[in-house]
Amino acid sequence: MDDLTIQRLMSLSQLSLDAEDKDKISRDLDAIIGFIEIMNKVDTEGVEPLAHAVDLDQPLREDRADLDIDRGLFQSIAPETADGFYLVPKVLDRR
Amino acid sequence: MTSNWEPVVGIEVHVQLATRSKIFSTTSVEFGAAPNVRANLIDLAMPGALPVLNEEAVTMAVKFGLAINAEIAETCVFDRKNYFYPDLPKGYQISQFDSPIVGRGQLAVLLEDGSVREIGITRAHLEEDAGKSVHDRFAESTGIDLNRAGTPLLEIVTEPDMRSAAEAAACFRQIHSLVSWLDICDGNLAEGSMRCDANVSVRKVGDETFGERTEIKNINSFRFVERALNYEIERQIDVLERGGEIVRETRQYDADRDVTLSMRSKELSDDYRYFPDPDLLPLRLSSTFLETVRSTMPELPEQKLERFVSDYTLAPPVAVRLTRDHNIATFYESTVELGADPQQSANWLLGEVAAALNREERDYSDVPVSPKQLADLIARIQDKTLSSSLAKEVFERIWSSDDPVDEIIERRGLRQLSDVEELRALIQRIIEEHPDQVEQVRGGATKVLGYLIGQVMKASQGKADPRQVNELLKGMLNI
Repeated sequence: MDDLTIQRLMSLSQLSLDAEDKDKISRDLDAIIGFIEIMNKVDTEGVEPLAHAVDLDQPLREDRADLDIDRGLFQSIAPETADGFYLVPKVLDRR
Repeated sequence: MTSNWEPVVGIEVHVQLATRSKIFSTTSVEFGAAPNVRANLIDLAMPGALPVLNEEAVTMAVKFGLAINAEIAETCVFDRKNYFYPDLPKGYQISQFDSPIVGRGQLAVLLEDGSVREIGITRAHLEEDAGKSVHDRFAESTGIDLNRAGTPLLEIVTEPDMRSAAEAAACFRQIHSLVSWLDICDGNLAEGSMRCDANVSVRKVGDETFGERTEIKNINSFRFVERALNYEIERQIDVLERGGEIVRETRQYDADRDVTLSMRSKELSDDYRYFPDPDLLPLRLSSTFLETVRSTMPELPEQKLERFVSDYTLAPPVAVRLTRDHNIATFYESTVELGADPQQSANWLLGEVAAALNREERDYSDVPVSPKQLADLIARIQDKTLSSSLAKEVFERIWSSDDPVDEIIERRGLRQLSDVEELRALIQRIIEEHPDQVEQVRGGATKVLGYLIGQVMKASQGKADPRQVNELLKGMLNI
């Protein structure tokens, strides 16, 4: 796991790591990828890819709307709220 | 400067589906509620809360697919599109990546000049919307409103088949008209029910390959699509003519300044790490389901157009304008079904009604006149109770009241003065009151004849038929 890949993963996951953590994470990721490599060796020739492990179809829900939502209950466990909004640290729109 | 350059444009349109509840939860999608009162366990991504797919969202996507003659996937899959942003509580958006519900189709786009261009639709897929971030309300924080999170969207992607900004705007308009027609979207651009992204590049005329493209994000009006693209096309040509290179990037349209601005470079292409969402099973659409949806499809614009031409003997360009929008087509049919003359009904709807709507910045979903009122008005013109100028006066009155046409005619005494003796008496009076002018007319001054007709019309308070006055007057003056 080279440093550039770690940098890129940090940016994608929006995490900042110090040098020591980076070292540890890098070793962990190497181990995980090593394990995936073992799975990659399995011969899957002629096997159809599956989107889900369970062979069932998606059930559908009737389009009925529920207007009875207790915002206060949900907001009581939020770290910070104001005027009905959930508050988060100031962000700039990067999308 | 633009003469030897050719723009290439493809668009992506996010259509908010007009369901009652969200795509994966039972929360209402009603617009305009106080912040976060439309966000339940699933929308807030509480651990353990699982999504259940809304059947109506699936039905609406299939309707769109059938309307553009697309292949509908027998089986499709929902994927997670991963990115971190505070208004996306799960840390991923549920979308469809490589198995969209609607495959390749065709859309006939009506251009400004009345011609029709076939635009390829690459795909359309179902996904959920994100919430809304409010950056300017709180000094130290960003406010998050998750009412919109989980709202069902159909993302429609076109082929790069358009060759001008005007064509791209026309395509956006056509998609708007079709989804409104199918009643799968309320079409309200101001409330964000439809948003358009445009991919644009330019190349030398005759080139086979496409140039590097940029993407303009989140344009929410037809006019802005055209303006943003025109600006961007000019900008790209300018860069290339100066020997520069186009950088692949996402740009934003600033309507106030009429420019596009770079948002971020795509050098490090986005990495959303799509994978099938294990919380949702593959969606299989049975032939029974497809047949049920097919049986609820409304008559499509092209079918209606053909019927208008054959049943009502309308000229094709007139029928095209009447089937451009579901509201106008429905209004027209209701008027004709009430017995009004098909040609006259078309003239009124596309003439006086269109002009009045335009004046008040309203559209055909909001015509203050009822089909019954318009049909009665046309009937009174045809039986000669009303002259064309009186009809316009009655029209103005029915525009602002629900009163029946006949009642307005009676109450206001607007019946056309067609009694010849009464009219003769009126003309005689005008002749006697204007000896000088009568002399001039007899001497060959035809312009003055118009003046005298005007005086008769004025004296009749507009109730006489000018053509009839003209004939009678000439007869009485022996000219």
